[in-house]
Amino acid sequence: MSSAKVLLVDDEKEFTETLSERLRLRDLEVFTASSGREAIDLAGQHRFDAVILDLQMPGMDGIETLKKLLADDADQQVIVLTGHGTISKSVEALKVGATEFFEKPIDIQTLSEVIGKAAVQRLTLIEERSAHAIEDVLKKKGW
Amino acid sequence: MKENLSDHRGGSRENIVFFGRIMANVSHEFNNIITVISELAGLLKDLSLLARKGRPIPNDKIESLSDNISKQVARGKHLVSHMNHFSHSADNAREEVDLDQVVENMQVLTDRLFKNRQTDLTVSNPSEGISLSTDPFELRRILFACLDQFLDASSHEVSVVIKRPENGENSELQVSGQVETIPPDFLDKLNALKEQAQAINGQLLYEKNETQILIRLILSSNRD
Repeated sequence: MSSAKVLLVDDEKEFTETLSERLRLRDLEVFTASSGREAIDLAGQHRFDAVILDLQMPGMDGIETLKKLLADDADQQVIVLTGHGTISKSVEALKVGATEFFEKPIDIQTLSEVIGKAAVQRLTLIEERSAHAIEDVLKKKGW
Repeated sequence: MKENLSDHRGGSRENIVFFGRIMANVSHEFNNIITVISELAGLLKDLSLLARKGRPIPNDKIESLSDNISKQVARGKHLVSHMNHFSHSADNAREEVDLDQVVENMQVLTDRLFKNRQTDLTVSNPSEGISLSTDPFELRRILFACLDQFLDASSHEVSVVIKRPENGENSELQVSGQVETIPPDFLDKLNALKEQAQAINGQLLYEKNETQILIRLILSSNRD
């Protein structure tokens, strides 16, 4: 499998720059966005294996961004990584459809593993969807 | 002049909520700083592991990472200093305060709240060095409550002007800004604030129309 493509969304520029450098050292392809709006635009242009999303950002907040990302692509794997780690926030994010929820700072090994799992999960979901689509065509055509 | 805590600090629930909001906001900022330092340290470790495998770390990279760590430490120290001033503002019910410092203190501690709402908070002070005798904690709480009206009203720009009227007796804080909507509970909140301002020998006045709010907090040094 080729290296996973990751979108890192956080308004703390120093954080996104440093973490993306570390992830690139681990052979991941990393894009960054400093706002929810920018993240949605980038997700519309690229197919990301995983989106790593902060919850507290200026303008469109993380939960709103999460909803929009999933509305645009139901298979999108979104890992919430926030400094605002209350139980209610984590429950809310997971209910909306986040894959995982972590508090900052996160161990790079854990994050790399979660990204790897998310990439596999996304691929599985896409393959399942394709298989269903083919089955539907076969049924409709009576083959 | 200092005075011990007295009964005029009513509404203890409001005080706790105010304290909690400021602390929650500041702790979030601290976590951001810790997270950045943690990533910078992690990157240094990554690079040193690569160096052991024969990929040397350029000197300018080490210098740049070291500068970035120092920058985060300075950011944290600035915040700690303001948090300390804020915490000690509750020590005495009356003491000499510098209005510039009080406003700067609240500006620093609420920075993230304003950024999250994409609201610019600007402070101007045409006459520097205004000091007065008042309750430092209550003054901060009332100022924050005034600022909070603009967060509720989805304002994009809020300005605080510190001024001393011509007669020289009273100082004044003017908080103003354009708003998108006037919150439904605006009048109730402002009326409650009027009473709280009176408790620190101040007077709170406001003017509003559909798109603009001006709140004036007039502060007298003479409490008796």
